[in-house]
Order: sequence, then structure tokens, then C-alpha cells
Amino acid sequence: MIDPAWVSGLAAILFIIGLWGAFSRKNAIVVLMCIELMLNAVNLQFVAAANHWGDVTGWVYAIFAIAIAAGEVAIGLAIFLSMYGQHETISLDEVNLLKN
Amino acid sequence: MRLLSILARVGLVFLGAVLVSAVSADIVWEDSSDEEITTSDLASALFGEWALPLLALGFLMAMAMVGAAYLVRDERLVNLEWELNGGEKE
Repeated sequence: MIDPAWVSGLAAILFIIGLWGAFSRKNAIVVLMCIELMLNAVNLQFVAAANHWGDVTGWVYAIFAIAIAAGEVAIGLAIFLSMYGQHETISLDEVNLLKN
Repeated sequence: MRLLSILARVGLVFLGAVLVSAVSADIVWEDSSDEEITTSDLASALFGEWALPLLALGFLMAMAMVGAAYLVRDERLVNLEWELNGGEKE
């Protein structure tokens, strides 16, 4: 079995890549993908810890995080669609108002 | 502004290094358990100890789906008429 320390290291690297992307990119969909990357990194960490210590709580947290990520994507894409309908762009630099 | 950007990147790299070294330290993963988790254990946990949070999550997801459907609703007249007529041509 893979050493959980290596899995944790991979999760940390994935999280930092996601954080960097969320901070630096301007396209809303890319930012959403980076947030998903961060969520998946945390899931990886949960699963590694749950497997290592034989505790089911980590699995439950991972399942909850996956469900919340799915809802977040649905809402996020709906917001982007609405945003594109009004501003004809999904660049986060150009969309700076929450009203029409 | 340029300096701030460079500082932010250096900070991210530093954070990454700290995070990787902290989570992969041997002291964190010292004592392990031989207990194997089965899908049955997971199901028991989900429908026992975690039943209420699971219900709350389901409710939250339902609200999210309704919100997403509301956000992407199509209000063009031609589509409203199509829906009112049951999707049949007049």
C-alpha cells in the first residue's frame, strides 16, 4: 500500500496548485475548476487519513465534500450562464457588479 | 503592484513547502490501525451516526438544484408559449 505521507504530500501540492490558479486566473470557469481541485485535494487527505487510522469519519466527510462540490458546480455554472447572458463575458476582471 | 504579485507568489510557494512538510512528517503518521473499513461500515455510519447531517445535505442539494434551475430559466416568449401549449404545435 502507498505510504499515506506520500498521498498527503500529493494532496498538499494539488491544493497549492488549486490555490494558485484560483488567485491568478481570470476566467470564471478556470477559477471554479481550481476550487474543485482544492476540494479534491482535501478529499484525498480525508481518505488517506481514514484509511490509515481505520476511522470511517474521513470517508463520510469525503462523501459530504463530493456532494457539496457537485452542488457548487451546478450553482456556479448557472451563475456563469446568467452572467454571460447579461455581460457577454465571464472574465472576473470585467464583471465587478452584483446587480444587472 | 508588481512587487505585491511577486510577494504573493513567493508566499504561495512558502505555504506549499510548509504544508507539504507538515502533512508528510513521519510523526503525523506514526501510529496506524490495522482495522479495515468496509462499505457496510460506511453505510452504517451514514444512516446511523450521520443520518441527520445527511438529511440536511440532501435538503441543501435540493435547494441548490432549485436555485440553479431558477437562475438558468428561459423567459423568451416563444419558449413560454411552447411550454403553455404542452410542447405541441398549434
